[in-house]
Amino acid sequence: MALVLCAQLPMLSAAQSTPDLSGMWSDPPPRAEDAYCHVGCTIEGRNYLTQILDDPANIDRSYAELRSEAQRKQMAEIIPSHLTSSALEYFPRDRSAAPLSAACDPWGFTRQIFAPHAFEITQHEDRVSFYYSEWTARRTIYLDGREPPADLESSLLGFSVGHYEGDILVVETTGINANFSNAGFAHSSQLTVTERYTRVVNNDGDGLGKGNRLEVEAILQDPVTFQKPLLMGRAWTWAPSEEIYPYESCIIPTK
Amino acid sequence: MKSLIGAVLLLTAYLLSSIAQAHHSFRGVFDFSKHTTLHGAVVKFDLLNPHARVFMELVNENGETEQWVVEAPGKLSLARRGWTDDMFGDREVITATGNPSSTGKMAIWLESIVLSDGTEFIDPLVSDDDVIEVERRARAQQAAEKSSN
Repeated sequence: MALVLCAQLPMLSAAQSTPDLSGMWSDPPPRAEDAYCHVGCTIEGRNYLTQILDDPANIDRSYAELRSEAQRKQMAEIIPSHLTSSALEYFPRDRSAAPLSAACDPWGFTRQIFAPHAFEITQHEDRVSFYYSEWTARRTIYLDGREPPADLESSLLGFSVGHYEGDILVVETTGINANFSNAGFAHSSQLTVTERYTRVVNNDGDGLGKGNRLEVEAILQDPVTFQKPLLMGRAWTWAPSEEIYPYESCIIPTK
Repeated sequence: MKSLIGAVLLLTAYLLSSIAQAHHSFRGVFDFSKHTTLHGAVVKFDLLNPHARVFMELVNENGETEQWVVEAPGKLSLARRGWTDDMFGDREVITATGNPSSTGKMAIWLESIVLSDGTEFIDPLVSDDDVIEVERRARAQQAAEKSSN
């Protein structure tokens, strides 16, 4: 019994009371909810997908069909119910209007934090470093309690500070450039995001070991874009053998 | 102000393309409702980020040589699925299927590639869907059994 309880405890470093999130993470094995959230999803949309997947009335409906239903609900109901009337005028973003900018510009914050593929976390005493394979983007999360500079200028990935709450890394980011998300909404530079990273044990028998899953839930708030906070999330799996490859100059797809 | 009809059309287009491919950024460049198959020789392969490209040379029905490009997800996605820089032999003849350019250019977005030895590489998102469908059936069966107990 004691051994079973120990296996369920969060991963805490022996030397520190902070959770051990360091290492290389990457895409989880193909599973319904994780695939739905491949580039981030609303928590409400993901929960809806779970509900319809586990409904015996849907036994004869394919995953593709159920995923489409959950995507429709996310795009037609969940996200619009969070948007201000002014934000609704630009939802969903018409990607065909500027496909090349979407193809060859580094990702903005709300796309980057849900980036698929390899993602490396390095924990230091006074900061945490995030290194994403997508766009080889880097973020520094300051743990020393500093305030954002008074003359902070907004940037692509903003200014992040963090702290630990038990086994959760909490990151708060401000100073984010106006941009758009993979979920189809655009946001202003008043966006603030709180991310909560948790390392959990996945007991689905995929052989990846204890504490093999990293989950993020993010709360997006922006008085220009949202009438109420939007909750989004994604997960990665422990992937020590993966590596981050350099990005070459983006060749604009053949027009 | 965007009209209601315009908003509905945009949402429909967004959902249709989301159904096809979850994270492609090329909705205005490739037509994901159509499919094209190419059969020809690989003359160059760039396994790069953010996007990989397979350059093919083939002969059309008029006997003319054409240069085509198969565009694909980047090395981030493909390397973990077994793609390597040297996976194609010199002028290896392959069959590539994908979504054609929406502007008539000689390019497709990868759906599958079959090498000369028959080995097939499928768009990672498509192959994942097949695995997930197995999961879906198991979960639905479980839910049905629970409900009948």
